[in-house]
Amino acid sequence: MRKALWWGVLAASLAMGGFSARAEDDRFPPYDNTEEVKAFWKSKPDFFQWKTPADLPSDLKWENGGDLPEMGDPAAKKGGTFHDYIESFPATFRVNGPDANGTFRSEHHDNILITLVQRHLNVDGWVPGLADEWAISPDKKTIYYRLCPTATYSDGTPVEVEDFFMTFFIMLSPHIQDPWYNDFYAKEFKAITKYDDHTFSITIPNLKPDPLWYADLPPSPRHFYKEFTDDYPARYQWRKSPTTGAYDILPDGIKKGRSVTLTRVKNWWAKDRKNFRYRFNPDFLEYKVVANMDKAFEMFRQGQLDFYIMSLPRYWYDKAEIPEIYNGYIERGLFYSVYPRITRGIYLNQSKPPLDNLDVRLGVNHALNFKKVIEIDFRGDPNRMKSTFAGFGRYTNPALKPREFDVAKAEEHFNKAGYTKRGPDGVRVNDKGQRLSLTLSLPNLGPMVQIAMRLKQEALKTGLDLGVEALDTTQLYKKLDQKNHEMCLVGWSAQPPYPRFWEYYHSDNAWKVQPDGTKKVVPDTNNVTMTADPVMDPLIDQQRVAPTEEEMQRLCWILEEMVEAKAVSIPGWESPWYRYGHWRWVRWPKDGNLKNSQLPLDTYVHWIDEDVKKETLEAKRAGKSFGETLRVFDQYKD
Amino acid sequence: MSLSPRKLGVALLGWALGSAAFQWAGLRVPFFKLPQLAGEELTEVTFALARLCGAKGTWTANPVGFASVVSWILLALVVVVSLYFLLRHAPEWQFNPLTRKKMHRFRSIRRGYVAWMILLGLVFVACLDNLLVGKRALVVNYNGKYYFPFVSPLIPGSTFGLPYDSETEYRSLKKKIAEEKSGSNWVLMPPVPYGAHLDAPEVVEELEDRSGVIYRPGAAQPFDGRAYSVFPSKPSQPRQEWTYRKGLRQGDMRGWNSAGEQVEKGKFEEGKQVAYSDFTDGKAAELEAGAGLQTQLFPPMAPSLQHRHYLGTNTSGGDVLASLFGGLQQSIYVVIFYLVVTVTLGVVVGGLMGFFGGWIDLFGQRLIEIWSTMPFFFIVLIVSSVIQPQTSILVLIICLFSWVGPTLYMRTATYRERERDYVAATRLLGAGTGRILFKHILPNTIAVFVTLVPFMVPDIIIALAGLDFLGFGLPPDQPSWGRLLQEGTENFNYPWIVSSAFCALVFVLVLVTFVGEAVREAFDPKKFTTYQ
Repeated sequence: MRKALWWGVLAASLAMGGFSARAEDDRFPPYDNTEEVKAFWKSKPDFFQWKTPADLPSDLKWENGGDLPEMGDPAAKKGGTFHDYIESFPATFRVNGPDANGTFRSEHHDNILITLVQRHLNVDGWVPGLADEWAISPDKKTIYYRLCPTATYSDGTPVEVEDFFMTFFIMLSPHIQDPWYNDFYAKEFKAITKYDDHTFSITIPNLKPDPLWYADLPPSPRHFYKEFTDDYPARYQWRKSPTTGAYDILPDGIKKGRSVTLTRVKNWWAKDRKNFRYRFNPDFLEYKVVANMDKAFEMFRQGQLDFYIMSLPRYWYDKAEIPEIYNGYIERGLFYSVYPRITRGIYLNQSKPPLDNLDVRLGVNHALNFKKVIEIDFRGDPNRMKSTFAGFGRYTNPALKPREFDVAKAEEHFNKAGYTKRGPDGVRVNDKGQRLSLTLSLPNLGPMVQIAMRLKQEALKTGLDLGVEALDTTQLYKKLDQKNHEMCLVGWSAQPPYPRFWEYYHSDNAWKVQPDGTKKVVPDTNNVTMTADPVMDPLIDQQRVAPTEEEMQRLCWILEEMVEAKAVSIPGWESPWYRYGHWRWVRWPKDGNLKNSQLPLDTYVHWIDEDVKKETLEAKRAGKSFGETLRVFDQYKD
Repeated sequence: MSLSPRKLGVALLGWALGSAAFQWAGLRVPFFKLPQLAGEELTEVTFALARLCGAKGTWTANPVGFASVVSWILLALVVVVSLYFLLRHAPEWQFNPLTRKKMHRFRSIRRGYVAWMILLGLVFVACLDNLLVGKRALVVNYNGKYYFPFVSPLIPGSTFGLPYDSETEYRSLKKKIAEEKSGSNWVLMPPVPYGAHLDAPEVVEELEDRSGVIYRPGAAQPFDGRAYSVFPSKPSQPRQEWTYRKGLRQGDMRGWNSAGEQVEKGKFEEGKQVAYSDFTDGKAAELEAGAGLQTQLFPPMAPSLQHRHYLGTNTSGGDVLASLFGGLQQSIYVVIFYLVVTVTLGVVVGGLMGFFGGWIDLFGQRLIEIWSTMPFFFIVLIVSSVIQPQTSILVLIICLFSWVGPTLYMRTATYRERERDYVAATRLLGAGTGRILFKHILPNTIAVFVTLVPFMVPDIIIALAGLDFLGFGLPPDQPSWGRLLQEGTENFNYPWIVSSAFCALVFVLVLVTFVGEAVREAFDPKKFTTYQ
C-alpha cells in the first residue's frame, strides 16, 4: 500500500515535471525569421546593398596595422583558472534590451567580443579584429573590410558578411526594447554593402575625424538569432550568444545565483594571430557572486580569489597591513593609465528652482568642499577633476578649472540670489522665508554617503543646507531619468574618443515642445542638468559631425567653456591610476599593462603561472617570505 | 521615595512653565526643550503625510511656525494634566490592593527593579542632551560677556572675532583662545565635545623629532605615513609634504607656495634626498616654512584621550561615543513613538472587535489576516529604497505592520472580560457602553499590555538597527547604532566601532529584557511560580 503511494507520488511529480517543461516550450514556440530578415533587407535597398567585386573602387589603400607592436607578452603561459568575483548575478545574458546594461556584460561581451577592428591599446592606431584589412574611401565616409576567412564563432560556425547585416535587423528592431541602440544604429550608419563573401563596406552619414571609431560593428550570428521576434527579451533572457572572442559561457559554467564561469574557446580562430596570441591566457575565468566587498576581500586573502581591486583607501592602506602582503604572497600594483575619466561630479537640475538661478548654482559650486573629501575620505590620493570633460587629451580644454570651495564667494553669490539672512540653524533664507535647502541624490554605494555627509557639513558653513538622499541605484537612475532630482552625485564612464555633448547638454534631450507650445520634460536621457541653450544647440550639432580633428577640438573647447559657465556640472575627483592586489601567481607583462587600459583585467594580458602558484603555496605552508612587492608603473603618468 | 499625585502635579507644572518660558525666550535647554522637539517631529510627520496625500496649500509653507503652534498645544496639554493632578485628583494614589501587590512584587524582584532604575537613569542622561555631548560650547566668556551657545540660536563666528559668519566652531575657538593666553576669555566645552551627527572634525597631530627620527607624540614606534609643514602666516596651507617610513623620509616629496600651487617635487630614500626639481627656478627654496611637522589622522581613528575621542571615530570621522549617545536618544524617542502608536491602535481596534463582536469582529479579523500576510520587512525595504524616510515616517511604517499583535491580544482579553459577571452587573445598574469600556473593561485588560510592552521594546530597537544595518533605515545624517554596527562589521580592522555599538545594543536590550521578565513575574496570576 505504502509503496503504491510512493509510486503514485513519483508518477504525479513526473507528470508535473513533464507538464511544466512542456509549459515552458509553449511560451516560446520555434520560430524562423530568415524570410523576415531578407524582406527587411529588401525593404531598404539604399541601406542594404549587394554589389560585385568589380564595383570595388580600384584606388583603395588597404591597411592592416601590421607595423604596430604586439599587444601581450610572449612570456605569457596558457592555462589555469582565474578566480574573480561579481557583486550580483547578472540579470540576463542578453547584450541589449531590458537589464542588459549591467556590469557583467563587459566581462562576457564588451571586453571579449572581437569586432571588425580593434584599437591598439598601447600606441595610437588600429589593428585587425575580424577584418584582416580595411580601407578608407577618399571621402572618409565609407570603410571597406576584408573579413578573415577563418573567423568563426565559438560554436564553430563561420562569421559571414550577412551577420553584420543581421546586426542592423536586430538593433533597429523595436523588439529589443532598447531605444538607445535604435537611435544609434539609425543615425550613425548610412549603408552596408556586400561585395563578395569576405568583402563588404560600411558607410557612415557624417564626416568624422577618425571614421573607424564609428564604422565598426559587432556581428550577430544569424543561426543564433533565428528566433528573434517580438518576445525577444523573454525568449533570449538566458541564451548566451556564440562569440567571436576567446571566452564563452558553456551551460555547465552557469550556477544560477552563485557563479558564472567563462571557458576559453577550443581552437579559437584567432589564437595564433598577432595581438591575440599572448592575451586571453587562463583556461577558465570564474566569477563568484559575492555581494559584499569586504567578504570578497577576506576570500581574496584566503586565496579563493586571485585578484582584488584596491582603489579604495580602506583596502590599499588599512586592510593591506597583513602577513600575506608582508611575505609577498599577495603583490600590489599601481598603474597610471590613459583613459577618459568617469565624469564623476555633482549635476544640478536647472529645471528645479532655485537652481534655475545662475547665482545659486555658482554659490553651490563654491559651497562644495571636494578638497576636503579628497583629503580625508580618499586620503589625498585622487585629484580634483579639472572639469567633467577631463581625460579626452587634446579635446579637453586646458583652461578649465573647478570652482574651489570658498565660503566668501559662495556667500557673495547666495546674497546676490536673494538669500541674504541666516535662519536660527545657520541656513540661509530669502525675503519670502524660503530656506536655501537642496536635495542631493546619490547611490547608496561604498563611500558615497560618507562623502555626501562631509559635503553637507561643509556646505552648512556657507548657509546651504543639503538634504542627502541615498537611493538604491535602480531607484536613483529612475529618478534621474524622470529628471525629478535637484542635485545628483553620479558619474558616467566616458567613451573615447570625443566628449559627447548632445546626450548631456542638447535641448533635444531636455524639453519637448508640444504642439500647443508648452514644454514637456524628455525622460530617459542623460541630460540630467536640463540644459537647453539655443546658443549651444547649433554648436553641439556641429560638434557631432565635426569633420576634422582641429574643428572638433575648437568646438569641444568652446562647448566645454559654455558648460562650465553655466555652473551645472561640478567636477568631483578622479584617479589617473588604478591600484590592485593579486596573488603572486597572477602575472602581467613587464610594463604592467597596456597604456589605454581602464582596469587591470580588461586587456586580458595577464596569465596564471602554475609553477609559481605551487611555489607560493608551498612557501606559505612553510612560512617562507618573498618580501613585500609593490609595483608602480608611472610611465604613462602625465 | 513616594511620588504623590500632588508632587507629580507640581513637578509637571514646573516643567511645563519652565519649558514655556524657555520657548518664549527662544532658548533650547536640554530636558525643557522636549515639547519643542516633539512639536517639530509631529510637524514633520504631518507634513510628510500631507505631501503623500498630495496636499498643497499655504499652511505647509511655514513648518517652523506650525511646529511652534504644535509645541504650545502640547505644553497646554501638560498644564491641564498637571492641574488635574493638583486640583481634582485625590491626594493619594488609589490603586486597588491587587495592583499594589503587583507593584510591590515588581520592586522586590531585584534584578528587574535595578534594571528599571538603570533604564530610567539612561533616559535621564539622554535628556541632558548637549549638556553632555555636543559640538557647541556650554559657556563662552568673551570680552567680559557670557554666551551660552548650547541653548541659544546659532552664534556666528564673527561674534568671537573669527573671520566667518557661519556657526562658530567652538573647539577651534577654544584652541585659539588657549593659544592667545590673553587674560579673561575662556570656553567651557561639554565632556564629549563632539556632535552626534554632522560633526566629523579633522584631527591633526603635531609630530615629534627625536634626534632625526620622527615619532607621534608619546609613541614608542617611529612614524609611518605622510606629514607636512605649513606656512606660519597661513596655517591652513601645507608648505611641503613628505612620506615617512620608520620615522625617516622615504618616497615622494611635494611642495606648494602660499597660493596652493605646486612649486617643487622630490624623492627621498631612507631620509636622504635622491631627486629634486623646482618648477620655479630656485624660488621655491626661499619660501618660508614653519618648523613644526604635522600629520592628519585619517578616520576611523583609534580611541584617544588626547583628542577626546574616548571611543575613537567612525569611518567618516564622527565621534563614536557621540554617535552612541545620539543613537540612545534616537532609540528612546523611537520606542516611545512606537509604543504610543501601536498600543493605541491595538487598544482601540482590539477593544472594538472584542467588545462589539459580530460583524465588526468578523471584518476586523479578515482584515488582520490579509494584513499579516504582507511581508513587513520587504515592504519597508521597498519603501525606503524609493524614498529616504525620516525617522518618524520610518517608525510609522513599522507601526503600520506591528499593530496586529497587540490588537489580537486585546481582542481576546476584551472578549473574555465582557462575558464576566461584573460587566453584566454594571450593565444592569444602567452603565453606558463608554463607562463599561473605559471604567471596567479597560483597566482589567491593561495587564495584557503591561506584560507585552517590555517585549515590544527590543523588537523595535532591533528592527530599526537591522534596517540601518542593511542600509535601508534612518537618513544617513542621523546617528544610529545599526549603522555603527554595519561600519564595524565591514571593518574589523577598527574594533572600537563594532565593539562599542555591540556593547551598547546588548546592554540596553538586556536591561529591557530583565525589566520585562520582572514585570511578567510580578503580574503573573500564579503567584508562586518561579521564573527561571
